[in-house]
Amino acid sequence: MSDTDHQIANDDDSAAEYALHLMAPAERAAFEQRLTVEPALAAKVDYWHAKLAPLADEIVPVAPPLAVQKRIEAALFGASKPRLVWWRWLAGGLVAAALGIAVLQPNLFSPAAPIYIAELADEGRSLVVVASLNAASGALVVTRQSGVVAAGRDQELWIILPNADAPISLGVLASAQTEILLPDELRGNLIDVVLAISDEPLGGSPTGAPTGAILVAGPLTLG
Amino acid sequence: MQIDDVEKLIGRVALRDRAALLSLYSATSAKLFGVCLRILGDRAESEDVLQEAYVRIWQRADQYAQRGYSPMTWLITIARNLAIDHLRARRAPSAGTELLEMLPDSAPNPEQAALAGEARAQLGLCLDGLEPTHADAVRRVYLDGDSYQDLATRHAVPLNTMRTWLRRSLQKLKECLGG
Repeated sequence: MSDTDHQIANDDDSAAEYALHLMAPAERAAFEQRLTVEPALAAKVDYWHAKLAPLADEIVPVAPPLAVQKRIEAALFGASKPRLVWWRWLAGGLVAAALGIAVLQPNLFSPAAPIYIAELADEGRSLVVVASLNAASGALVVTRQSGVVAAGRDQELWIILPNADAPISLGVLASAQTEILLPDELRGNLIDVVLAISDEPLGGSPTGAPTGAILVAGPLTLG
Repeated sequence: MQIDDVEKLIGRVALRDRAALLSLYSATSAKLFGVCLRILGDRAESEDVLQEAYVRIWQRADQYAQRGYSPMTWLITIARNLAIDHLRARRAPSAGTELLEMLPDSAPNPEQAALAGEARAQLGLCLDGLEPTHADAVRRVYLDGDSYQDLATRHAVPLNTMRTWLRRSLQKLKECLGG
């Protein structure tokens, strides 16, 4: 092959070009689609990231002006404040309702059954999701019993802790039954906790806070 | 700050811990700003890209655990890719040569040198095994965000020739690096 022959890219070439950010946007988007379903290809990309990383050692750190940090805080956290309203209200209301129910639960104080459940449903029960949490292992099983995900959208699960600054994402509900491992940090206090599901763009909220409508919500209670 | 600490901070950022994001910013923003400046050569534009980078880090921290390389590399890649996107969108010659000349000499500090010593030595040896112009092309792509077109113009060769050239250099590099 002469140097002027157009060489067809094999996966090794493409992985290196992706890692080096040499691809045109359309080519990159198509490659990223493949990466989500081809772990071997993703490993090739990781290889180049790891091997070329020492090149960055020679880049000299330069302290950015303080204003940049303020702008980042404003961009990420400043605008989210008005959003606090819906879920504060939601958390308060649902937890109060749960306390009413809790009194009727005979096994509430049974130490042998650290299973928490939540039912998340709308009024017409067009969407019903049941979540079951093993408090010891942190395994949270989320089952969509009825309802569907809107075309081209995703449903994202959130946990709202009492006195928290914002809902915390537990991830996108990718299928009718999703198992999520609740992070250690969140297992400590499971009192007055609310789960909620929001309607989000594919892949989940781009901001880290819910951006779409809250579809359903419900308090986590001892099952 | 040790690599483990950066990793822990990213983990806390994934849990929407705002204080962790600010700690991560304090620990890593100078390096990422250096990356942006090197590629863009423009302070105001680099500040914009740095902001975008940390917004993206906040949004994607939960994806970090899936990757197989160091947390610093993950952070640098986010900043680097965004800076290159800005560079490509600009489509004008870099205005920042004066600034680049003002930056201090590119020498890693002893701590970094010890941490990354073996990997860097290997990469250095393998780059030395390439023809000097080819090794220079790899560096320019990584550090300065050069595109195939930039390299083709610099070396006065057709675009496809440049593409073939760099791909072969990378293949050769991979044979040397192994793994």
